[in-house]
Amino acid sequence: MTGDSDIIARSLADPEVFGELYLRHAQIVHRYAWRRGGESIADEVTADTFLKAFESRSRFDSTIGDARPWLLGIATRLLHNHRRSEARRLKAFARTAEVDTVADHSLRTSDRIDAVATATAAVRALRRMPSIDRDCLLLYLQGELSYDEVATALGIPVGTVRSRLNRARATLRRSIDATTNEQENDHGRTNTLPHNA
Amino acid sequence: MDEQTLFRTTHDDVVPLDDATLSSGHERFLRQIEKRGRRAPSAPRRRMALRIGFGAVAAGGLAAVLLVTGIIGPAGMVGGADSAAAAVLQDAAKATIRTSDPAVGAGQYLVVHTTAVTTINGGLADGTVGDYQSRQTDTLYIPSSQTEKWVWVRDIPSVEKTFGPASAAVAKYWIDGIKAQGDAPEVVRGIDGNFYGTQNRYTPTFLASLPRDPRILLNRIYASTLGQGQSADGEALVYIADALRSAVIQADLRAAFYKAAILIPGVTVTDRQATLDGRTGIAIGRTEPASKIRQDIIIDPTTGLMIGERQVSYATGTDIPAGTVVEWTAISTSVANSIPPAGTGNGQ
Repeated sequence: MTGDSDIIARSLADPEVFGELYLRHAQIVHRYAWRRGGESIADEVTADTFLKAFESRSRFDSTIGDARPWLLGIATRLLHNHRRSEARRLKAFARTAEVDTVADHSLRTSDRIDAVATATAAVRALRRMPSIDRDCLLLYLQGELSYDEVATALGIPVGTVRSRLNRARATLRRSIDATTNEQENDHGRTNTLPHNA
Repeated sequence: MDEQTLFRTTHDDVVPLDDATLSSGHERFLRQIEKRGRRAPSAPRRRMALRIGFGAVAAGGLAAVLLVTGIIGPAGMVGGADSAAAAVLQDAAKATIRTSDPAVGAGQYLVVHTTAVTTINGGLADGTVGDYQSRQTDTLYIPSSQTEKWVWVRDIPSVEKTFGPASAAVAKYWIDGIKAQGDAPEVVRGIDGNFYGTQNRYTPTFLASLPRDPRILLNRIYASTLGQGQSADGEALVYIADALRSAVIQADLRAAFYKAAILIPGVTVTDRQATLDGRTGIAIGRTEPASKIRQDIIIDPTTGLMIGERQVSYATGTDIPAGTVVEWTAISTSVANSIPPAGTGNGQ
């Protein structure tokens, strides 16, 4: 199978070849854009990502065989133009958790409350963390990239990705734990679990 | 529930592209690149050899410490700015030492006025895409006392420039969306310049820790920007422009930054009559070969103060004509006795 870097190299002389990259990765870019910004912008961000990639294909590092990190890095930067959509998506995320858990009759009431509280706390933490930390976290969790690939996507050293991901996850965990503790206290019980459990 | 499960499976309502949608998207994409891709660009670049060199040096303990602190490093080893740019920067360093920084008394505020123009790439649901430029003016009130809150007033942005009908349509969609949210400026408050959960980089402690020796300062910059941007030299100049743009750099460090820029290869005088937001100065800058973007710093030769910075694109094959200023920021400062009322903790 021809590698992504070969396709990109050939597209320099024959632009149409770049279409192979679209067929290969459009699904992944679309899924990532949808997860972060919702259905309303997924098509637009996907189309824009490939156009931007096409325009900058001469700058693709040919030592990297897989174009996914490069494409998702471009999509991430484009998503910054859709902050309102992302904010709406996050709010919807918390609301949907509520609807899903209420609909699931197998869950106990306390579990439903905890699930909603967890989603709400996660959303709150995500909205408050620096955008660069959020990008690292969501490229990892929603883009399904490895640490090395997140580093390639954002053009930063892998050590920086590690530290930003650690910080982002700690922020997330603190927010969720704090909310869970409030819930526990509301129910008249004390949470005896350590915060990093 | 761990965060992986939370973000990947909960609320995962994504509907995958079916074959027909993928095929039509592919066809549309091919039509668009047919219009844009008639001109073949240059060959792909390879990873910078400099990164490998740094990595090898950083592997040794003492060497790593010396590298990070800037005692050793490549600053000045492979040339620097050309003689005209070196003269401009040297004069600016001298002038800026003579220029008094604004005196901010007890209870007063340093006010940083910023006007920024940025190029945005946007799109419409029908597949129309285009680049346009936005203008944003900000006013930042920095208290003399570190215990007081900073206040950041962000005006509603406007469309600065469009590039043809598609660009104009995308820009209108963008600005209409913003106006629909209201037209009041956003007033944000934060301690120590931390807004929206982002830590202020240019704290007094951090600025005091930066070396005043230009060569060591530049090595420190190379170390802290390692692996970022298109090239180490390009990123170093961007680092200096970013720091100066903060408007909180005192005269001695400002002079050190100018002298450090003398040691960056490829820096030249790019415009002796550069006008930014109505003020004219001398521009020194460096063009990044890979991205074809030139980073300029515009200096008032009389005071040695930075008027602002800008980026000029020489890339071809896009809607934006080669030679367009794609981003610029102009800064100025004043002193105020009070701050605007209201505002929230983090702008949310």
